[in-house]
Amino acid sequence: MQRFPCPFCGPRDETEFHFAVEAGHARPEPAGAVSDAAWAAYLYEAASPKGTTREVWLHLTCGEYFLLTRDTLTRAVNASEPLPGVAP
Amino acid sequence: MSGWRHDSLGAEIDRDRPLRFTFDGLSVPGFEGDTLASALMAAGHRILGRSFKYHRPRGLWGLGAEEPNAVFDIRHEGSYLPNARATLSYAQDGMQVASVNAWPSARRDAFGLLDLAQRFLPAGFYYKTFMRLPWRIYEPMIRRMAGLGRVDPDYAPDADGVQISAACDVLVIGAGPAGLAAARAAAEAGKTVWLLEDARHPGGALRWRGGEIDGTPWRDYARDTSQAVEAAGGRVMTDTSLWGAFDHGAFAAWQRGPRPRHWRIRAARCILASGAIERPLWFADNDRPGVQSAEAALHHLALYGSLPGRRILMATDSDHSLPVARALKDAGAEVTVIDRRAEVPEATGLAQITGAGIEAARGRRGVTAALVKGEEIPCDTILCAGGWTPSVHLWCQAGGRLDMDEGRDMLVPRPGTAPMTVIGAATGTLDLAAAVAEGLAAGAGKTPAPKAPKPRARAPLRPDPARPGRQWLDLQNDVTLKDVALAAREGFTSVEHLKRYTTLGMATDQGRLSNFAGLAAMAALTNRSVAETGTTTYRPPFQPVPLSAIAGPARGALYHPLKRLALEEAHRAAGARFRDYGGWLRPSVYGQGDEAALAQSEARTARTTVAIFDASPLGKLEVIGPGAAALLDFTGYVRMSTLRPGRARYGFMLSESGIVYDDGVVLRLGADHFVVSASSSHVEGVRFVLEDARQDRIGRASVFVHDVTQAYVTLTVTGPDARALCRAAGLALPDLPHMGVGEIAYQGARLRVARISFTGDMSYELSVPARHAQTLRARLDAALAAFDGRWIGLEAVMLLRAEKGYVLIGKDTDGSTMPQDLGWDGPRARRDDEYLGKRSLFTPEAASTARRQLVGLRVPEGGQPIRTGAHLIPDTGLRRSLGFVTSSYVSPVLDRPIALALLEGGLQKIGQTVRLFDDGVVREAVVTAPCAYDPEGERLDGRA
Amino acid sequence: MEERDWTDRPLAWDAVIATPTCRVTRQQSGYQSLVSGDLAAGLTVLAPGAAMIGFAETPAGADYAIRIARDRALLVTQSPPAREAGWQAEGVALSPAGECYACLALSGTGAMALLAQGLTSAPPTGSPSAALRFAGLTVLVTGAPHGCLLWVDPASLSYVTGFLSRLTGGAPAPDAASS
Repeated sequence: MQRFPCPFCGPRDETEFHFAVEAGHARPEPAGAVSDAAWAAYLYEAASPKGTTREVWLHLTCGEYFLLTRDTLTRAVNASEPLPGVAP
Repeated sequence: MSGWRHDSLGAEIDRDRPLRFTFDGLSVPGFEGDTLASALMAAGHRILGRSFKYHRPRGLWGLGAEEPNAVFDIRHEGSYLPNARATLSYAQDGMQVASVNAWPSARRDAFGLLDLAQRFLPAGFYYKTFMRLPWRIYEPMIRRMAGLGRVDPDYAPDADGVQISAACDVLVIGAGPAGLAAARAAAEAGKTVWLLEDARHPGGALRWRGGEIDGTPWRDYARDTSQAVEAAGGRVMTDTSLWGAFDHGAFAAWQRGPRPRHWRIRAARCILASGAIERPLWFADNDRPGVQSAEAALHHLALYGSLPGRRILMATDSDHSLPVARALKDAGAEVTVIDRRAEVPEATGLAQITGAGIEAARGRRGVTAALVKGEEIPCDTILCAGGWTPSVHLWCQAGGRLDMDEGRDMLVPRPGTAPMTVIGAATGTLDLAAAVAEGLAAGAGKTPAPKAPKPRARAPLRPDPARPGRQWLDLQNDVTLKDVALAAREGFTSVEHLKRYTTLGMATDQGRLSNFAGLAAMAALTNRSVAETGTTTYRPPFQPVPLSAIAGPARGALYHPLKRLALEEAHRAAGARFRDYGGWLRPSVYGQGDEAALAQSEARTARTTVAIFDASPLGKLEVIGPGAAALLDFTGYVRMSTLRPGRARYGFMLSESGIVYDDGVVLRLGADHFVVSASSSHVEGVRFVLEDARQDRIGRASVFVHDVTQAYVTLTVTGPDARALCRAAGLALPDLPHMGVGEIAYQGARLRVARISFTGDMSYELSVPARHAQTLRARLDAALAAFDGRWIGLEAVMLLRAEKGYVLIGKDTDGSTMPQDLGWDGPRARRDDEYLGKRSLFTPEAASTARRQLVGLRVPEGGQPIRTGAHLIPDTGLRRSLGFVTSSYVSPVLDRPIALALLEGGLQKIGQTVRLFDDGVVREAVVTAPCAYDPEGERLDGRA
Repeated sequence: MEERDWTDRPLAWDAVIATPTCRVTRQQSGYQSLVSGDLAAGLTVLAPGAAMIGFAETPAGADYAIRIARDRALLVTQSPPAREAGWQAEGVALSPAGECYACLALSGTGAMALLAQGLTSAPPTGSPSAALRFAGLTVLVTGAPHGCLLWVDPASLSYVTGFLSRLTGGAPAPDAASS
C-alpha cells in the first residue's frame, strides 16, 4: 500500500490515486500536420524507465491532476508538484 | 508411544486446570496452557500425520511456524480451522483435532503403501505420467488425494473480522531479548512503539532458556518494557502475526484471540527481531517420528513439561545446544550427545560420542535406533541441532537483499537494502548479550555497527549425496536430496526452477527448514557458492492467515454494493423488481409474472398511451464558466459551442484512440452554463476526462465541473399522452420544441424540463431536487390511471430504444467502434478544430471499408429472435466472424423480432441477406438500417 | 441473471447504530451547494462570515464551506444562496446541490476509531481537503463537538450504514417510515 503525496491534500494511500500518463509527452497538433507514426507514438509509446520516472497522476478524492516523480525500481516517491502554472 | 509428561516442570501450563480433547477420535489429556503439540507429546502420541506424497508416518519436529508435519484440522465450539499448526494452536477442552492427508487416521493410513512405490514417484513425476488415458480419469482421484487439510463447505467463518488502520513511530517485530531491548530503548526515547510478538507470551527463546536482559531477569525486563511502551503511547500485542511488509512502511498483522483483528500499520521506522530457526540434520530416513529439533525439545520441556522420549540422542556441533541435553538429563531422560567435534570440553557430565554424526535413523513407525559410526545405538528420539537459519522473510518482502555469512554459515540481511533495522538472531547474532546490545542501539536510533566476521570453525554441515538412503530436505512436500540431484540432471539448476520442479519450499511452512538445504545442495551439485546460487522470492503472508481476516466486512451484501435510488421504497411499493443496471439497483419490470411478458406489456403501453420511468442515475455534470464551451468542444465529438441556451444536443465523447467512450445529451442553460449527461456507469470517468482537459489545456480558472447527479431525481414521462399526463398532474410545462430545455417553479424549488427522447416517443425528463421527489412521483402516479398509463422498468426502456436503433455504449459498441461506424460521420468530415480522438479518425484503420458498422437485422417472417452475441458469418469460404448481434428483442409494436448488430462493412450491405451462426444453427437475416420503428421521427410530438 | 435479495435499507432517520463508544445517526444538513473557483471571493458573496474547514475540522458557525479540492468546496448554509446557479462575475461557479451528500453523525469517544476501520491507513492529520476514501467510496469528513460527521453520497447510504453496522457488530434499529 504505497503512500503518495497529493500537492494539495497531503500524503494519502495509493487507492485514492489513479495513474494517468507518463509526463512530458505533448499532444501533437494540429491533426492535419501529424503523421501516423507521430500520433501512434503519442498514443502508445512510453519510455517506462527503470529508475526515476515523471508521471501524471490523478487524486480521485479531490480531482486534481498532478506530477509525481518516483522510482519504478524501489517504488520510492521523490517529489510531487502541481501541474505547471498552478500555485502550490 | 514414547513421549511423557514430567511431574512438575512446565512453566506455562496450569496443572490445576486439566482438559481433554480428541485427536483422530482418541481422547487426549492436557492442561490449560498446553499447545496441541505439547499435549500430544506428553500423552505419547508420536505419529501426528502422513507425508504429502509418500504417506510416511510423521511426528512433531519443531516449536513454531516452521513445524512441517503436525498440521491439523481443528473444530471447536462451532468454528473450524483447517491446516493449523499444532505448535501454534492451544489446546482447549472439547476440541476435535484431526490429522490431515491420512485416512482413517494418522496412525493407520490406508495410503501408507504409497511409500513402497517411491521409485516411481520422484519429484516432478506428474510431468512424465498421466498421459495415456484421458485426463478426466485421473483428475478426480488426484484431487481427492491432493492437499493437506480439508475445507468444510458448510462452515462459514463468524461474521466480519475487525480491520483497523493505525500508525506508530517504531514497529518492533518480535519480543525476544533483542526486540524487548529495542522496544524499551525506543519507548524511553519518547517514541510510540508497537511491539508485536507471534507467540502468546513475550520473551522469545528466553522463555525456555532463561536469562537476563541488561542485568535484569528477563521476565521483569519484559514487564517493565510493556509498561514503558504503554506509557509512551504504544502497544504490546502478543499472539499477533506480523505477516506482510509492504511499501512505504506499511505492514499487515493478524491478531488472534476471541475477536481476531486485521491491523494495517504504517510505521515510520521498523526494527526486525524475528529470530532464527534451527536447521535440521540430513541422514537417511531423517523424517521418522522421533526426529526432532533440539531447541524444540527444550522448549517443550521447559514450558510444558513434555519430553519426547526416554532414550535420547542429540546430534550437534555447537555448545549452544548443550543446555538442551543437560535439561533433558536433569528431567530424567537418558541423553547421549553425538558431537561432530573431536573434543567437547563443555559437555562434562554428559554421555557423549565425539567426532561423529548420525548416519541413519532406524524404525518405520518411529525412531528405534540411530546409526552412528557404523553402529546401531538404540534410542527413541534423535534431536538435531544443525545450526541456525535467520528468519529473514519480512526483510526480503520489503525488498532487502541477503549476504552469505561464510563464518556463521547463514544467509543474513545486507544492511541498507531495505528500510528496516535487523537485530539479534535474525542477523546471525546468537549471543544473548550481543543481541541485547544491538536492540538497545537500534531502539535508540543508532546505526548498527558492522558485524565482526566470525572465522569458520569447520567445514559447513551439508547434505551428503554420497550417503546411502533417502534424506529429506522438505518434510512437508516430501522432497529428498535425490530430487534435487534429479532436478540438476534434468537441467533445472536455477534456484527458481529447483523450487518449482521439485516443489521444495512451496508448502505451507514456506521452506523454513528446507530452503537453505535445497539451495546449498544445488550449489554443491553445480559447483557454485551459495551466494551465487541465490534465493527465491519471499512473499506475504509470513504465515497462513485466514481469508476472513483479510476480507473484513466487505462480504455478502457489502461485497459488491450497488447504488440505490432515492425513490427505491416507492418503486418497491408499486411492485417493482430490481436488478443491477450499470452499478445501480433499478426496476427491471413492475409486477408479478414472467419478466419478458411484463416488459412487452410495459413497452406496448409506452407506445400506446403514457409510461414513466426513473432516470435518476443518468449523470448530470454541470460545466460552468467562460471556458465551458471550449472545454466541451475539445472533449466532445459534436460541437456544443453552437448550441443555443435552452436547447439540448446529442453528442459523443471519444477516447484519443477515436473509440466511442460515452454518448449523451448536453443541455445549455446559459452562455457559461451547460449540463452534460453521462451514462450512469461512466459518470466518474466522464468527469475526469473533463477535468483532465480543464486542468491541462483549457485553463482551470475559466471552467469548472460539478457532479450533481445525486442532487436530483429525474422521472421521464414518455408516450403519446406524455404532455397531457404532466398537465393532469398539475405541472404547467412550458411549450418546448423537441430537444428544448426549460424550468418551472415547483414547491419553492426549480423543476427542470427537458424534451429529450430515449424511446422515440414524446418524452419529458423532469428533474427536481431529491427532497421533492416523493411529491412529484405521487402527483404523476395519481394521474396515470386516467390515461391507462403505468410505471415501466429498464427492460421495457431498453426494448423501446432498440426499436429506434439508439445505441447503448458498451452494448452496441465495443472497444473498436468509432463514431463513423455508428453513422455519425459529420463532425469528422466538417470540424477543423481540435477535439479528443480527432487524429485517430484519419488513420488507415479508421478509413478501412471493412470496419464493423452498426446495422439492424430483420429475420424472415415468423422467425425466432436471434440470440444476442450470435456471429455474422460469410456466405462461403472460411467461416469467420464478420461481427455479432449486440441487442435483440421482440418488438410488441411491430409484432416481430428486432436486432442490432455490428457488421463488417454493414452500411454498404443494407438490403442484403446475411448469414448468422446462432447457437449452433446457421440462419439468415436481412440487413436494415438500425432504426426499425418510425424512422421519420413523427411520433416525437405525441398527441396534442 | 439471478437477482439477489436486496433487503438492506439506508439508516432510518430515527434509528441508531450503537457501540459502547460511538453512536451513528442520520443528520439533516443545511442547504448544500458546490462552489468552485476563487473560493474566498465566493464565500464573501454567497455566505459572508462562513469559514472553510478541512479534514475533521469543526465549523464555527451555522454557515460553512467544506474544502474538497484546491478550488472546490461544498457550501453548507442555513438558507439557499441568494445567487442564481452558474457562473458568477467574481470568478466563481455555483451549483445548488440539494442533498448531494447525506450526513451521518458519529458521536462518542470512539468516533474516529470507528471511522478508521473503514480506512486503509490511520486518518490523515491536518489535510486541507475533507475528502477521502472510506470503505471504497469518496466521502467527506468534518468535525463535530461530539465526534465527526461523515458526508456520503445518498445512493451509497445503504451500503455505508450496512458497513458501519457490521463494524460495530450492532444492527440498526428497525426502521420507521423512511423519509
